[in-house]
Amino acid sequence: MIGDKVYLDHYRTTPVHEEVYQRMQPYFKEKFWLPAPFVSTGTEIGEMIEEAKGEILKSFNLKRGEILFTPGGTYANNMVIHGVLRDAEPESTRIITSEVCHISILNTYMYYKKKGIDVVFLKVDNEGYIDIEELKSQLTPHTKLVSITHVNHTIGTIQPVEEIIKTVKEYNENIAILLDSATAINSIPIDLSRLNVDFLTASGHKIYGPKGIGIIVARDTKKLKPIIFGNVDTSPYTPGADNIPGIVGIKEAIKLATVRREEYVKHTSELQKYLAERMEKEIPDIVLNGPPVGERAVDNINYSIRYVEGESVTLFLDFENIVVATGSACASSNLKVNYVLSAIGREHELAHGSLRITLGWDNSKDEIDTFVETLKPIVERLRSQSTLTRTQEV
Amino acid sequence: MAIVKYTEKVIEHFKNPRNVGEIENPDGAATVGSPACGDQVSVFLKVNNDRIEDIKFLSYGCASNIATGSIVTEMAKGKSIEEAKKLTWKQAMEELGGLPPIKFHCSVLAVDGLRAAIKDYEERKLGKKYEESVNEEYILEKLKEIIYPKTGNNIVDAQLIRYMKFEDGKLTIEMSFEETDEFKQNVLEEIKEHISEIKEVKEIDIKVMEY
Repeated sequence: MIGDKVYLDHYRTTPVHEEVYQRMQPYFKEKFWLPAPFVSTGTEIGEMIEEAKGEILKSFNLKRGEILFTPGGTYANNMVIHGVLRDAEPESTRIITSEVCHISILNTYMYYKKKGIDVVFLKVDNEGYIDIEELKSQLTPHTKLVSITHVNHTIGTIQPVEEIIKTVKEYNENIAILLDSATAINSIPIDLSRLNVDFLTASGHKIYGPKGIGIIVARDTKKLKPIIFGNVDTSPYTPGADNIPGIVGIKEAIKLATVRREEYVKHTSELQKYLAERMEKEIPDIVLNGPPVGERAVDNINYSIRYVEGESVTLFLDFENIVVATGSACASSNLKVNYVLSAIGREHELAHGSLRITLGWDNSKDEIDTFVETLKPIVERLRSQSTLTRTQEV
Repeated sequence: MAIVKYTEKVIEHFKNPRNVGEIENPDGAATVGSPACGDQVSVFLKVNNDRIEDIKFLSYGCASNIATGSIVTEMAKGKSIEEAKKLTWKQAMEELGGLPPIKFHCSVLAVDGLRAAIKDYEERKLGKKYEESVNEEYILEKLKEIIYPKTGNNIVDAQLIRYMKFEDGKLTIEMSFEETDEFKQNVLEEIKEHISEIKEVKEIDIKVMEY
């Protein structure tokens, strides 16, 4: 429980871990300084940032590399894409991503499409996987960047990252690869000494760290151009005052995620299996979105509940202090149905009644029981007043 | 995004919707909306002496859709057919204490459902024939049923339509959107859905200009 809530929306955001929170505290009031040369206040902070970068590199098993701190995961993805494309000639530039990648990648790609750059959105299969053969066929001498979301934020598909990287780098070593690992860090070990990605991005608040901080782990920054300009304290790529408490926070969060990963996988995968078993046995007419349990990310489950609309379900759950997410167009801010579900071929009606349940440290088996027991009568009730179930009977 | 919240009255009607269900052998009934595009509402009427004696509804929709179905049926119950025809979505919304603009389009459906059920009653029981000539004016009225989620008024009043022509079964519409308009796709789909109900329109061509 978090307060009085059964919280099942950890892919949206997570609470800050107590240890992370404690480590951040001194940097708000006592050590509120910014990095600066020579003076003790400034060099203390400077050293702390360098140490944080070293720790983060170590967590990804990278001996040499650069860590850029950004205001979040969306900013990190934007900075990589804009940074790689800043001086690109549209007529000789192709960039590739997939239809199910994170919206911060897709919308940035759409911008470049309008600018005349050749943009490829790879199709995915009905479980959300990229087709390596299709990727191979889309690589051209003009290809500059391939961007992939590691673990799908909606349906938990784990992309075959090793194969993707091998395919791209075998074709041309110079093509930059952006791996968006925001929803992967908690459950998947990432060894950058083996995975030849140029840029990995992550976000603090998805891994029990603070909001407002993200990172770019760059093997080197040669392929990147600055896109933000101002007073350079720590890096020409990220001018302006650094978010010092955030840097401490994300460093601690990554460290903790690495140390606790094995235990996290055990904890969430047990709950995931239990939840899937109960849902599939006790709630009729539901459809699993994404790969089967055992193949998908251990902390994600996504079901479409036929004949009901998702916002209604999430609201009724909210009345009972249970927090989940839905892909329903009614619950989105732009009235569009969830694009990941559309990309895997779910018709509007199925996306409309979809529930995303994402697990975390604070969840227990009892909470899964509470969730299923609460959900059952809500679904029954909404179905009994739905136009669709009646039409089915006729 | 501004904070989007339902009023207590909306929540109350969503939790305890009035008049949910079906009427056997109704005097008028209609289903509007389509699950392929979002919400769907069915309305059933029992009419006695030109008064709506009983009314029931079903909804495949979100909270605002269910709450509007509840309030509209409550408002229509006991009214004469002519009175019920005059019920507007605006009245229903005011009765609910307001809705966020983004939810207007989900709630219009319940009022559309009531009107369609009354029309069905008049055609089936009274033998009335609705023969409207489909011209540009008629199509414009149809387009006025579509709410622009950003502002909450209809797409015609929101001045999204710059030009319209209907000739030989072909409808041409020219629209303009801000480049960053996130509701563009939604509005275009709504237009296609609404126009597809007019069988006289054989072909539709929507040109979109972005500025």
